[in-house]
Amino acid sequence: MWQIDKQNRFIIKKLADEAIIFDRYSGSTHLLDTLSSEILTLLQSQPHGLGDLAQNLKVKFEFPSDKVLNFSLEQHLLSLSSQGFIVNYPSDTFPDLPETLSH
Amino acid sequence: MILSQICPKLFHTEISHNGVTINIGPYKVNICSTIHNVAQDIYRLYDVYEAEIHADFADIYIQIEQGSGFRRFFKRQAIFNNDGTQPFTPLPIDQAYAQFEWGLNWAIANQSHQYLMIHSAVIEKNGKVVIMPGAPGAGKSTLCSALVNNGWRLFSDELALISLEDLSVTPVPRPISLKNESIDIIKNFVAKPIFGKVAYDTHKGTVSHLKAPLESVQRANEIAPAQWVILPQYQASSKTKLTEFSKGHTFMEVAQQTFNYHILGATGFEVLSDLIQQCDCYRFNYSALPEAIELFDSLV
Repeated sequence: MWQIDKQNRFIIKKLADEAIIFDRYSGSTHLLDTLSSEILTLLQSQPHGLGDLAQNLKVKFEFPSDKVLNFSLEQHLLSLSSQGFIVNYPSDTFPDLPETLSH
Repeated sequence: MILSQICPKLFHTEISHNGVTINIGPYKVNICSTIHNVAQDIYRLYDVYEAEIHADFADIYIQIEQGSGFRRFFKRQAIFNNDGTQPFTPLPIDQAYAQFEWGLNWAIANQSHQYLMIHSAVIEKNGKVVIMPGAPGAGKSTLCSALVNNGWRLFSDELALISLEDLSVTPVPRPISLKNESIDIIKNFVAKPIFGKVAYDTHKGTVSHLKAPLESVQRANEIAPAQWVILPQYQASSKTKLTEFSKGHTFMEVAQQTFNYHILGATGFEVLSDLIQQCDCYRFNYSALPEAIELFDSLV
């Protein structure tokens, strides 16, 4: 289950189809592309599983195939995770969430 | 009173003893110097500004003094002093006026955290402000000099002062610092330009300051909202070209040109992102000033 690292840590602002993110802990600012921006916006509202993220992105963006979408999503999650913006918790950390949101 | 209403003799006496206080945008700046060139250039370039002798208060106190001891006679130096501190290495005395202007930039940038400060030329027309951030050498001062002498109002050649409350831009019109080839370009382009003395071999090359237009100084208390962020780049023989630039990338470039973004933290981020959100953002390549002016005029 993917979620924003800590809800108050980041400020995310959408600027047209990009986004900028401010890290209150480090004072650093980062520029995010469209897909990363959308993923963070989704995760800001609530934690999402991989499948659910893919479903949401499929509605908003055009991908040549599900394979490309999944590959792209995983790459972006990895990148956001390595920058410390998001974390992946085991799904049983959130027992109250509906089944469809679990990884 | 206007500075030129102070008789030159009294001005020279006061500036070398108690200092003369000049209203520069939102700041009262007390300048004290025994160096003749500094006094002369201030009298020439700030003659239309509101000024006071024996003022009770100033926001910024600056002294430009001669080096002491053998430096009074051999390779004479000028020392910048702000509120009792000497933050800079002394410079050759011929560079004393440039040192005053650079030091004033530093003093303003150090004590104006009620604004987000962007290293930028800022101009206005029809109530709409263009912010032109740029690294040294981008050609922003040359472009700014040409525009403010052709119908645009000078807010600043160095600093965009952005209100943290409402994003309005506050003017702080001062002489424009021109370097190297730009000095002759503007001397040939602007009708009857008034320059300060030329300082040679500074760390920026040859430097001279162009007097700010009278109307810009007289309207220094008129704030205005920003409408455009334009990143200028002079390129010899290049075509005049205005290209839309993504807001995200503009944000990142402008953040690099701020003086206090890191100090303001989350507030700086919020203010800068709101500013970029409300502006149209462009890159601008130019080489011919008449074409550049025509293009800027077409914006308004």
